Amino acid sequence: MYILEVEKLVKRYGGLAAVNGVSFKVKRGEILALIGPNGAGKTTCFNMIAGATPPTEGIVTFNGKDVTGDKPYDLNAHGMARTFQVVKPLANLTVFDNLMVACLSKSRNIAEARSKARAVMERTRLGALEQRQAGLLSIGNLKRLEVARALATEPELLLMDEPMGGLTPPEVDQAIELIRDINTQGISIVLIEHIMKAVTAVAGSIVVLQNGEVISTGDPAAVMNDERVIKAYLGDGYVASR
Amino acid sequence: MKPLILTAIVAALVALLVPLVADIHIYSIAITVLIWIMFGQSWNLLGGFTGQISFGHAMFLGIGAYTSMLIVNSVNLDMAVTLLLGGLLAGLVSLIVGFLIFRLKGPYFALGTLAFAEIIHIVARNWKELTNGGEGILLAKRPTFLGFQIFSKAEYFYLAVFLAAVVCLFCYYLTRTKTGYSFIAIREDQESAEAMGLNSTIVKSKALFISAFLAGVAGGFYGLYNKFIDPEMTFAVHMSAEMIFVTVIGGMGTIAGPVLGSAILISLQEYLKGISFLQAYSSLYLIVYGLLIMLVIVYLPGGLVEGMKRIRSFVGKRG
Repeated sequence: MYILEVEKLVKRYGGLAAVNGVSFKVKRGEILALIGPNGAGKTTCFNMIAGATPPTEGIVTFNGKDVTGDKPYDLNAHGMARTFQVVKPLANLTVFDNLMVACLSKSRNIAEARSKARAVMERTRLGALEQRQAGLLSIGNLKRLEVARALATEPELLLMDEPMGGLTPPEVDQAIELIRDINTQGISIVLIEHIMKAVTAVAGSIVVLQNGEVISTGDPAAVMNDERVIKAYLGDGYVASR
Repeated sequence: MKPLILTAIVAALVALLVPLVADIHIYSIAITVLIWIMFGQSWNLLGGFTGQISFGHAMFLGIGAYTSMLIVNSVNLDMAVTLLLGGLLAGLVSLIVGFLIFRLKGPYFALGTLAFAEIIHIVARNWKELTNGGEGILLAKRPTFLGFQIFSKAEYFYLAVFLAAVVCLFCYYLTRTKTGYSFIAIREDQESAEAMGLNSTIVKSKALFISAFLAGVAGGFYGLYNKFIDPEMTFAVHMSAEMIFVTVIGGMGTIAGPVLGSAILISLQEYLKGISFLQAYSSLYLIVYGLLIMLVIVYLPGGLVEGMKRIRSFVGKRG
């Protein structure tokens, strides 16, 4: 039923708890958005789930298996993929070779990886940029490449860290379309995003973080009207004046 | 042109043309260039393609050289087997070294390799029973390669052409396999590569193993060709540095890089050694050599390969 369960996740850096007892569950096939003001601990949560940094406390369960502290490549082999907020292309390689690398670990040989890479490239509409050097792409295309690379590893769960940060409005619309498209193919998604239009357009449920703690969860309409959420974003004064 | 055909043509031309003009001196320069092409390719696989800069590759060279020398002097196996064994032993040692120092990154990894090479250097100087210490080991028998006797300069020259061509082709085709792609991915961004399912420790260990294997094979050949080895000419840090030079000057992360780098640097060294006003002091030529290397690094950070690309695009635009 649940593809991902996060229980009482804690990350302390010295005396500071960047994430302090966060729990949430992601249903198979759903899109869950993780939102919150800057510094709320969203990316730290992501890094703990994806194995980039081990949690101080708490348990991450993926597909019913405890994967707390597992390495990114092991998680990837089990079907979890991620994108990075600050894009990390293999800068000197072409777009196509970036996708080749992503296809490698689940392909038996180069020929198989090549045909898979081509398929992903078409699916994410990167075909026209095939031979372009990844480091020279615009931010919109780099974000798209991040998603394409994650998809190329054939995940069941995709963690997307601000896939729309820095995009132009038409690019945001394309990204929304891409996320929906990915989801309809049966891939569950956890999304960190600041652009609320996008969040409400795609998310089935929302978890709101503030200062490392969950302050609200539920379906988008309920969360958006939650006073604690409005306070977190707009301050006490705004709520009092309503 | 297909790299296989291109390499075959270049190797054949070298093998046919050099003997027409060669005296003993030219043979020895040509063989030295070919040996450094192999060392350069070995270092380039780890440093240029996988992005792990080693300052200690002399340890693999030395292990290969001593293994081959000892095998030939004792049981005189065919060189095809001897060199392979030298390479394998270097590879095995690299697995231990890698296990211990791949938790280090960037400059710390580089310093770790340097420290390891120095430890082995000191061991080689003092383990007299095995290495005969600073007195070194003389080649005592006439080795063979696939049954052919290899002893004269000309014989070593043909074998060097063959081995260098095989090493270059091996590296070229390796970079086009799954393994090769994973090396490059780690170089470009380790975190990103891990997120795409690559276990960086395993990938880096593979790169180090193959690189050490090639250094061991080339080191074995180098020792047998010199007919004498001691710790200073095998394990010393200047050997590691020279491997870096030929690759960086030629062009890191390219197959042509070490080839161009070795050809130019080794010939340049020989040329400078021959200039009479530089002979007043025995190491003066090294100062000129060092200055030239600095110039290339400052003005051509991509090495000679990049320089040739620039010339080609410049000529292309004008034409």
